[in-house]
Amino acid sequence: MPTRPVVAVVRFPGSNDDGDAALALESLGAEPVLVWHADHELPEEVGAVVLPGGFSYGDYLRCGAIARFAPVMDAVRRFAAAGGPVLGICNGFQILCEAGLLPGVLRPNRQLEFVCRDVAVRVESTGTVFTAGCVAGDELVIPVKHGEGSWYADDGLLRELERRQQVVLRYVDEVNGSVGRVAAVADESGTVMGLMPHPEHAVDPLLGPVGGIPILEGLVAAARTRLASVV
Amino acid sequence: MSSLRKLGFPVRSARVGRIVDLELDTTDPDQARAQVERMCEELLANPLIESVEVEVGD
Repeated sequence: MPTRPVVAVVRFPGSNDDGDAALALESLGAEPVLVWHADHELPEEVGAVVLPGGFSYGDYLRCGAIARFAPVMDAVRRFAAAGGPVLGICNGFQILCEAGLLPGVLRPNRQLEFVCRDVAVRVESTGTVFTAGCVAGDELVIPVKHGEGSWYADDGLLRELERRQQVVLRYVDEVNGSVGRVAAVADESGTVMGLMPHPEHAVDPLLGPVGGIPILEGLVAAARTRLASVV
Repeated sequence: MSSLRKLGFPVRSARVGRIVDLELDTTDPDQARAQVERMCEELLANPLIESVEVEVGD
């Protein structure tokens, strides 16, 4: 039995998927540790970070705009800059975009309605630690639940990201008006990724689709690798 | 907009924006403008999707 790598799950005021993220990570072999937004440091020997879904700071101003100034975000930034894997889910994706750790921004859904259902996403890039175990073209079914999930970048930036394999997942069918039907983007290194679908809600066949497993397994594997290389 | 139309108002387009009223300590209009522009850059607006107009009053 390999050791369980520590994965920090950041809890902001208004986070509501932190518990599910921790349960999913635990079921996939990690040791989740909840970290409070006002903390200045991540736990020692942390192998990866998850920014979970929810409505941090009540979504005031713009989703994620205030969370990016949380004290813990400086630690997350340092961790990411040192090559640590960071996954932002839904509100976590919004925070990473507002923090400048990921390109683009999330706007209100084009249909101006909250969308809550299972969707299929296609793996476009296997060059991230989160999709390293997938095959390009794989379709994963994962639920979405968001009102502001329409990812936007201008044409030039979108093309640049596509060229650099930073568009990681695309919705198979139209969901929210995202340009290029983008569901997930990564940074250049492939160790920081954000996505609107919720992999942490899709890990148990008893509860529905299990498309979240490969993505979270990728995160756990990257956490394990990182700890092995750091120690 | 569709609700306004259902009510019978002849609306062609509608957009919702945001107004932020700020009171500053400074009385120098140039300084006030410069400060507010920095606030917009750092927090109040996301330049990818939002444009900003700054007005300085009394």
